[in-house]
Amino acid sequence: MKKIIAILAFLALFTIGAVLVLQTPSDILYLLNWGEYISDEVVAKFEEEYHCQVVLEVVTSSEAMYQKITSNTTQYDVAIPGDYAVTQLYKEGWLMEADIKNDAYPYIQQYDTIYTDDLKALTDKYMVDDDNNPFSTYYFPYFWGAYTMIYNTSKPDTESVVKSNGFEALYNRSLYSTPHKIGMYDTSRWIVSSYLMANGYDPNITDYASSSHEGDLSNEIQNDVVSALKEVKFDEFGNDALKRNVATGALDLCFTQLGDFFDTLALVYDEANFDGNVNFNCYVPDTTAAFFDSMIIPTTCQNYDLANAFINFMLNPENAFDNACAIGYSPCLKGVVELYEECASDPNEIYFDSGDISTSLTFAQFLDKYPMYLNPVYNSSNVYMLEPKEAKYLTTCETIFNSLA
Amino acid sequence: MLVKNSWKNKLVGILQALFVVFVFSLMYMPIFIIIYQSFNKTANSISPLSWGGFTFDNYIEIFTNRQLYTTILDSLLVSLWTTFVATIIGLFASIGINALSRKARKAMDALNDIPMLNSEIVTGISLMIIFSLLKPLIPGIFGFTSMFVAHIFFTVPYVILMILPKLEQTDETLFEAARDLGCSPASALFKVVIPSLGTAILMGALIAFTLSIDDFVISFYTQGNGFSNFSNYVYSSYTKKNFSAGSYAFNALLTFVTLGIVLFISLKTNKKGKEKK
Amino acid sequence: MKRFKGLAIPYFVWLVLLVVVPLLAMFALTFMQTNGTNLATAVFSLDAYKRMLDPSIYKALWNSLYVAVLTVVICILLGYPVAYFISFSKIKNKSLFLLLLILPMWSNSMLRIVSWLRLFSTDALAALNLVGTDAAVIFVTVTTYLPFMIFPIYTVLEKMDRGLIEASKDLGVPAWKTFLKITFPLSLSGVSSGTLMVFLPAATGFAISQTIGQGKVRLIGNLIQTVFEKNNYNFGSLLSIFVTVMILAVVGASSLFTGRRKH
Repeated sequence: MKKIIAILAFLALFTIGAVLVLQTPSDILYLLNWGEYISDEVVAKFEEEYHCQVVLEVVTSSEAMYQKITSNTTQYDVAIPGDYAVTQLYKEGWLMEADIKNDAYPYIQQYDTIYTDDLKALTDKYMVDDDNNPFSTYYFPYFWGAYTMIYNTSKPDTESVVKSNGFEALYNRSLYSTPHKIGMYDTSRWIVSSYLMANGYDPNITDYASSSHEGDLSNEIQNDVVSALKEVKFDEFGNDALKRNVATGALDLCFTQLGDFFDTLALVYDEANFDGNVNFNCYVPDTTAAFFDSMIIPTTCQNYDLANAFINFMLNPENAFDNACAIGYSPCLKGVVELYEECASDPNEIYFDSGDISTSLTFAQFLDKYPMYLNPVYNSSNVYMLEPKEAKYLTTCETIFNSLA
Repeated sequence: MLVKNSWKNKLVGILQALFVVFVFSLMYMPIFIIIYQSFNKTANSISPLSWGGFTFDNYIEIFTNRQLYTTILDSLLVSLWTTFVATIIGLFASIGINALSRKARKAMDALNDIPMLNSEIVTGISLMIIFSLLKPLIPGIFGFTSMFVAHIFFTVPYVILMILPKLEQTDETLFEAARDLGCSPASALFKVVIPSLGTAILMGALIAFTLSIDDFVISFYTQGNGFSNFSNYVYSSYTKKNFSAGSYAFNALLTFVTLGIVLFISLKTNKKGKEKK
Repeated sequence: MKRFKGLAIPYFVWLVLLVVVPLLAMFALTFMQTNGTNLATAVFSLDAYKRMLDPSIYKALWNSLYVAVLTVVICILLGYPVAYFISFSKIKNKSLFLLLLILPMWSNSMLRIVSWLRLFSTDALAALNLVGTDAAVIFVTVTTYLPFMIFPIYTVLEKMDRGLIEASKDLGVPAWKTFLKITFPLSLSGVSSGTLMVFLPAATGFAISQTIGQGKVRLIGNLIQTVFEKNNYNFGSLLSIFVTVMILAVVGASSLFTGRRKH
């Protein structure tokens, strides 16, 4: 009996200790996000300003994001899903309108004028409901980017093939003179989209002949994708690991999205014995698809005021700039672009600090070398966005992917 | 005959020892890597396992990286409470099962086997479904509550597996004798039967802790509201640039500490055994 | 101690609530089309059953069987000799050996898998292209579950009546024949429970195939995981029930085959 009391006392003490450490203020903001997609410092600043705690949960796919919001296991106050998930959530009635009438949230009130022009053009075109009406008070773009290829520059012909063939460089091994290792993202829908774009089609079509965007993927396209996949035999299907493998040379190129490239760039400049040589680059083809992730408030939200405060806080260019510098994705706000350009006007302002001035990269060098950072589609004339698709279509994509098992 | 074969025997012995060492090194390889990484300055470098110099920083990170220490505390909270509660539930369930008639016993055994035999992913998903159905009644169920219940659920059968055979061997007359000496059934149980199960209970608790602290799949499906555990932290962030090298340090520390505790206990029981002799 | 029967009742209720009820709920979900577990918008549908015709499911099942069977075979080939050598050796402190066997299990399994991945991706080993192959997945599965094979075999060997072996030796039977005729058959119960303990997690896990397999080795566990991630609880439930039935069939068959000891 004494023993049990001793054990219980220990457990009780441990619990009290743990609860003290994990102590949560009365105000909690549950944020559903992608991994490494928000700066800890910016979060800390928000927590301090609003005397609250941000509880972060991360997912690895748009589908998982959708599932988490709709399955109800947690009531998130803010989530940051991708564009087509936002449209789907809106159509299904999962989104709450932000508090646009409240003067406490000045940045939310300017929702119509704060985004960069190219992004605004895309949202105007794609982010509409069934009656073609926009719903821009329900979502607030956070970061954006485009689908791209990251390639290693150690082999002589990789760069030229990638630049002259676009996404076909992923699907046509005969373009290369030497064997290349090619990685593909493991999201089944992206595979279908990348295949369609590689062959010059709109990634949203479901049928070649009618160019319809509705319904299930036609058998013809399905068969084409399956046989293309069987022929090209990608060397790796992955997500976060792909970019690292291109950087280390384990892969020669991979399909991914732009943010992954800048993320890896930051990683390389951060290496202990970095010698100033970056042996990989990225290329956004002429025909590509853009994407953006937006802050939304789900209807299951428990703390509406704090959710609005958070969105407003993240729309403040100062905070968004700090966040962009830490995360490395392309900023959505005009104000942030201006701040970047301002920093670039000072030739000594360092962007990637490798610890040694000679191997570090300044803002000016960075923007000069990677113009796609401030505008992911600056070099692309054919920019699509992936549209929301019905469950049947997604199941078909899944089946195509599974057929490789 | 013996003399003639001795060099052969020795050779066989050496080969056997080499084989055992080889197999154990396969099992220990990841442990060595984890310990190596826990002292490595560049544990999270883009070129894997490159040695960047010796450091204790990774150990300090356990206490400074908020995301890491939060998941560690979450893990420990669930596992320690699970160990305690699952052992008690397992003990009393064993006593109950032991008393059942043959037929009832058979049904109970089969039911108790299911959590052990069924795949973790199915167990995790069934629990998630139950919890989501309960969600309207208990809004905050996902998080500590769901993970705690899930861990008790899958560890209790193993505790029973440890305790029940021992209980069957316990002499019924021991209990009867205590009764004859004037003990109430309850106090006979607590004063005589349960103390005789000491080691089995300890083994049950140990197995419950081991399974609980290491669990990934079932926790994957029952986490929520920002409450997660260490395995899931590793799973969701090992490819990220801010994956904390403190993870290796924490794991190495956990291995050392459990090893220490077990060595201590075994030394103590050894001593006791010798004293008795 | 028969009077304590009542103590089994709460645990029985608990098991029914958490084993039987979810299975029934899943069974019900297979006949519907729902958004997650939200029953408000549920409609009757046999879509889940139609999807069972998809050949990729059987491919994933086949992959799982392939990985699990090979894992078990390799575990027996590596684990049996180890258990045998240790059990029949003259080492005094065998409990230390048991400790060595359990120790790897106190290291987080997810982190162990990640460590293997890192090792396979080092410059020295990258040329072997291990990552993403069946071989690497099987190898890591073997090293993860090997203790589960060694443990039961060792226990059975320890409990075995050594008198039998001595007697056989005294009768002049060669050592290999003694092993084949006496030791091995007597240790089969250990092998069979080890097989079960390795086979089940190896066939249904998803962490190793996902991490080490790099999306190219897809087992039934990966399939179930992605289906639930896509919020399709209906098809996911059907797959889960399917797996449960298969497991019960395997367990039933193995207990028929070896006459599983009942406690």
